[in-house]
Amino acid sequence: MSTSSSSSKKIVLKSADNETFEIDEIVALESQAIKNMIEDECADNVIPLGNIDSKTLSKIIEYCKKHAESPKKDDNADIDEKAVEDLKSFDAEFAKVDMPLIQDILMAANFLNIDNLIGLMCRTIADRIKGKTPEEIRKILNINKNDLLSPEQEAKAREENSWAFD
Amino acid sequence: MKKLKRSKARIRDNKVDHISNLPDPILHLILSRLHSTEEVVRNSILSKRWKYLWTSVPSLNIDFTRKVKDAYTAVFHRNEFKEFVDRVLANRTLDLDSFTLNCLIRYDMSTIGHWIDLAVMRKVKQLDLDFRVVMDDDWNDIVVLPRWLVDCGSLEALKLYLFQCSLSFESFTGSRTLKSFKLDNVVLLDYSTYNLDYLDISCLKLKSLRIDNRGLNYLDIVDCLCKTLSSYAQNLCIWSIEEAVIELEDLGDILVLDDNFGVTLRELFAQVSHVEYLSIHRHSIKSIAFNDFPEEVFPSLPNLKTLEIALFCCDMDYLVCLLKCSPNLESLYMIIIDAHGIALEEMVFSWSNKDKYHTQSMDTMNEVSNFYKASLSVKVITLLKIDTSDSSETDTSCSSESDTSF
Repeated sequence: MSTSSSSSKKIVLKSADNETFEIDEIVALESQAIKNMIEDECADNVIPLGNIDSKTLSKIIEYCKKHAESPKKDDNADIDEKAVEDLKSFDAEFAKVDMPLIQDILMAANFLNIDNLIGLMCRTIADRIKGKTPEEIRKILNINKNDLLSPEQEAKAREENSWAFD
Repeated sequence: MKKLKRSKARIRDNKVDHISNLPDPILHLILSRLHSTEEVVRNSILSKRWKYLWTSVPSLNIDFTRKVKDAYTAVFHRNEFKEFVDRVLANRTLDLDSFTLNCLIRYDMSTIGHWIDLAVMRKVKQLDLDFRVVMDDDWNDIVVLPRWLVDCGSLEALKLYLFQCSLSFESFTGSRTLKSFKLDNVVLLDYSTYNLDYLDISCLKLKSLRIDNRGLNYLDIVDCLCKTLSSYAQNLCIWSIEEAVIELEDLGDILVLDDNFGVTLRELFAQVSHVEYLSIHRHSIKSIAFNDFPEEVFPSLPNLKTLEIALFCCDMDYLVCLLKCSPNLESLYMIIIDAHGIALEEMVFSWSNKDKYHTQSMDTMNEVSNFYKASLSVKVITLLKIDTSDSSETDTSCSSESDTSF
């Protein structure tokens, strides 16, 4: 698959708030879900993404653009180390956003099936909850207060795995 | 569309727990990025959604020393820790990618064996164990790992840190899946001979074997340091602390030209750069230098006193490189493999200091000459290296030439 021939083809994505994004097909193919749609020829010119808002979608397009441009590991064994470093620092910068947006991106990446982005968001979330107490993590992740364990259940869980708790 | 906007507004109002709506595999990904199984388990009390997530995280990493570091108080946690490991391993249906266990206190082999058993039942691919075993009798007991670990058909990587316990190697032969095997602080001892002359671990797919037991002091036993073997040559090498022998048997030219093999050898060579005695064959040298300029790939051999080398006449540049890397070389044994065709014209010796050069160089050169009888006249160039850091320049400026007739 050569970049030049497929880059001419455009795909239009439409966000939940009806904003449209015209992107090269090669960028859209970073999403396994969209790729499948195109391959099955069930994609119209405009692909509606009813559960992704424009802020999240533009972030995701930014990510896919960068990753579509970069040489793939399996394409060429001796890829430029500089390109790898460049992509790493892009990812690090990309993840510097607030937790609600990270969660939105993760939801959308899961829906669109973009493996690398799912991995990046999971790593970012893990890094932010590492070494934190359960109370702190509940706050960071915005865990539903109606879903908490009862004090008895929590005490039992702590006792059963006392080694893990202090 | 309005509906979606509303739901989004609710998220920002902290009413919808966004992350808990994600499917299990995503949450497992997040949990498996945490430091330890202990930390993962602590997240079981976040909410009902999270309560059982930890039970299906595919990698386990349990370390006694994260919580208790000194051996005196460690014994009070013996049962608590054991119960925890049992619980984490038991009753799970999901396969394990990796299981890392670090015990500070001794458990009996049946407990360890039980844990290995549970990991095997979960089709563990990567096993990393650091444990000490309670011995009935200090002398007779050796760690024999359960046979089903070798036969399980899932294990790809095994790393053992046995805290100076000895390990029976017989329990290891024949794995069809093991690719990487690393031993750290494991006494390598064949109890029938109290010796380790030959190490034979035949596993079909084994690509890398690393044995690191520096710090172990065998008394009257041969002091062995076994570093890296490759699947290409199970009888490739035996390393000991002061002596390194590189032997290549039954290796065709195809293997010599294989780049990976060269890299493996190069790595191996770098790891034994502290040896005093080195015996090496041209196949090995050529593999190490494969695709690169020989002067760039050979490591410095600061302690090397004796070098035994087998070469073709046309390989002399390799010898020169090796000599340049060996400032303290005292004797060189050279075996010329084929002497037909081109007669040897030059031999180059390099010495680090004047005293050694005067007292030892002639003896050595005469000895070398015994290995080379084809040529009647060989020009011997001796190089006196004054500044090793700038050897190439001093080599030429300090060289003295003499014609020696053999």
